[in-house]
Amino acid sequence: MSTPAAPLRPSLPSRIVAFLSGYGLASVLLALLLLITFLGTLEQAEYGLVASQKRYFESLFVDRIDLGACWRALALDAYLPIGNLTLPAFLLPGGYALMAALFVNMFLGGIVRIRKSPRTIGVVISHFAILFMIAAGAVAHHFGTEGILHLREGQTNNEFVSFHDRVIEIEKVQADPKAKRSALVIDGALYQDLAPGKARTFTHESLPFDLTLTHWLRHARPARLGPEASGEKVDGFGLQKLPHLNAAGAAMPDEQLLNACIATARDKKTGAEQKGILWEMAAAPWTVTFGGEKYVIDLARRSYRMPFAVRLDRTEREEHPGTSRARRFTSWVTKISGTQEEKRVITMNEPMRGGGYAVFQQTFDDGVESRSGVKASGFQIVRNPSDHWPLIACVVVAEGLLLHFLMMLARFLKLPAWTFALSLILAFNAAFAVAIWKLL
Amino acid sequence: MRTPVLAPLLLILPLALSSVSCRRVAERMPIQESREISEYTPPPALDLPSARRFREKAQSPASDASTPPDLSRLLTWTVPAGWSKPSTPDQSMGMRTVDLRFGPQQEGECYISLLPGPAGGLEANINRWRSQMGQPPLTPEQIANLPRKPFFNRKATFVDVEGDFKAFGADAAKAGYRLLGLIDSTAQATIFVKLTGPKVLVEQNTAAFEAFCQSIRPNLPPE
Repeated sequence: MSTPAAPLRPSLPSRIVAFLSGYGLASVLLALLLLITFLGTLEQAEYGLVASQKRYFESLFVDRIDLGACWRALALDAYLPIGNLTLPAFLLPGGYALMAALFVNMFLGGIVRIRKSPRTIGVVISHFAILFMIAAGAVAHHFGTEGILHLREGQTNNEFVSFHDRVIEIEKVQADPKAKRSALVIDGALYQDLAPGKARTFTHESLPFDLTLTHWLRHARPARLGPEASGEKVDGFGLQKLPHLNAAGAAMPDEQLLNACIATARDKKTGAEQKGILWEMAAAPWTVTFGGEKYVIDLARRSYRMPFAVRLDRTEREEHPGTSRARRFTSWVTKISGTQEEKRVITMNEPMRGGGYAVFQQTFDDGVESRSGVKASGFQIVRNPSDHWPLIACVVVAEGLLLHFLMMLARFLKLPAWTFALSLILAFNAAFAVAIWKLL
Repeated sequence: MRTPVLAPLLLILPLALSSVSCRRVAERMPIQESREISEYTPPPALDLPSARRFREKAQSPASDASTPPDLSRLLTWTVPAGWSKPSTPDQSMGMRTVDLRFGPQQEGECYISLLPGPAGGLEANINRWRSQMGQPPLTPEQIANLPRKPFFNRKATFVDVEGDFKAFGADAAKAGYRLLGLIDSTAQATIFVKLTGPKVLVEQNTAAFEAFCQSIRPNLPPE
């Protein structure tokens, strides 16, 4: 009697692929995604949307978990206060890493290794569409930009500013008002760690001075200080830190926070110093003069250039009949691309699209409350190369699952599977197209 | 079954470490980024004192945060014969420093407006006025070629437009109107003088408008 041959142990690459494509890995990844969604949503109450998104959903690792904030968000501190309890850094993978791992898992498991047969074709199509949706998120994260463009009636611009990203810009003032203007840009990530006591110096060969930044505050305002006041003082003013929480104890939206810092411009030749306060809400940038040349230094939101300019010709507010409640804001604009001008209308939920950008009506100013006397519109500008990908992915997921379920039903009813499923899908799609056509 | 639990961590740890090591911030750094500033961006206001940059309000007993400063104290002017203050002042016209009316039914309007900074710029304001008259906007070259008149010891851009006038906040346009205006826009402040009315009435008051503009002076203390 011969002994049965021992089963062959799979090779290491096979085992790695099997592990990466396994249900076990998928389950762990989905559970972790659920956990970070839960924690990130709770922390948002005290840290705000943007900070939570960055920490939990756009990161490779969550650098710390503020359990105290999560506890308070659940109102559990009313029963058992735990104070400011923070878990150590790098305990949890962030959303970016989890989605990358899920992409690999689904690609290997749901596309490469899955048994290909008529029975699984619908599932493969759905997996492919989900991968497409994850890819859409990655493209939007890496290549998308969004911000706001404020225009008064008659005003034209081809730049919008970010909602959240701050920069410091240095511009040399030119004698010729028609000369092309440019600015050196210091990204916010390079100075937003400069708490009082820390400093960083920025240099550029074209500048006659070095710029040292310190005392960065996320939300502050310049306040006049008395002679006896301590702390860094510039021209009689110092930086007064403001709370990040509103009167209700909730985190203020990031776009309402006013960054500030103290800057020192030091002459490269003589070492002479000029000191100023940079503040997001300043009425004008800080002017420094070196060797008869003037430079302006400004803390502002990051600017983005569009491939076309927008001129606001007219903007109107439409009210519900008999009330002063706004029903609709509409702007009549001219889209200017080089020498070409095109009249367009932008209204709520009906943006103007072009050049990869979508221009949405976001805010309206009737000029009375702001006392400007001129009506104005705020346009949200979105550049997202994967703008329509999620919609396409959703349609494909639905088609894939429909195909799968109809083929299962056909087998159960002992009908020809392909004929049954495809004819019904065709009928559903036709009905859907007619419904959309009638609705729009 | 233990391996799958640890697996995600093993998979993403190298990625996390590489991302941490990529972001080095030194104490002295060269600036590596620059951008071109749009031709539509108004020039910055230069050499403003800290109090103005930080929007510090004047602390006097009479001042009230909710009350705008009376800018008309900064100017002097001579009201032409037949012109007067409106009998029913419109509170929504708060940006008007001086507001005058003329004509049999007070249908002619003339006002001075003084705003800090470039107030959107010369081009935007001229085209806003033109759009109020139902006229197409002018190009920057056309605006540069508009006539200029002496005003406030400087040269201000003169605007003369005819059309159907739709005033700020009005429901409908008034046909057969004419607009005369002067704009002097600088980085520090912008002053507007704008006159509107039916064509014939404006024609009759053109000389008065010129005289009114020339009479506007800074309200300086006697030497």
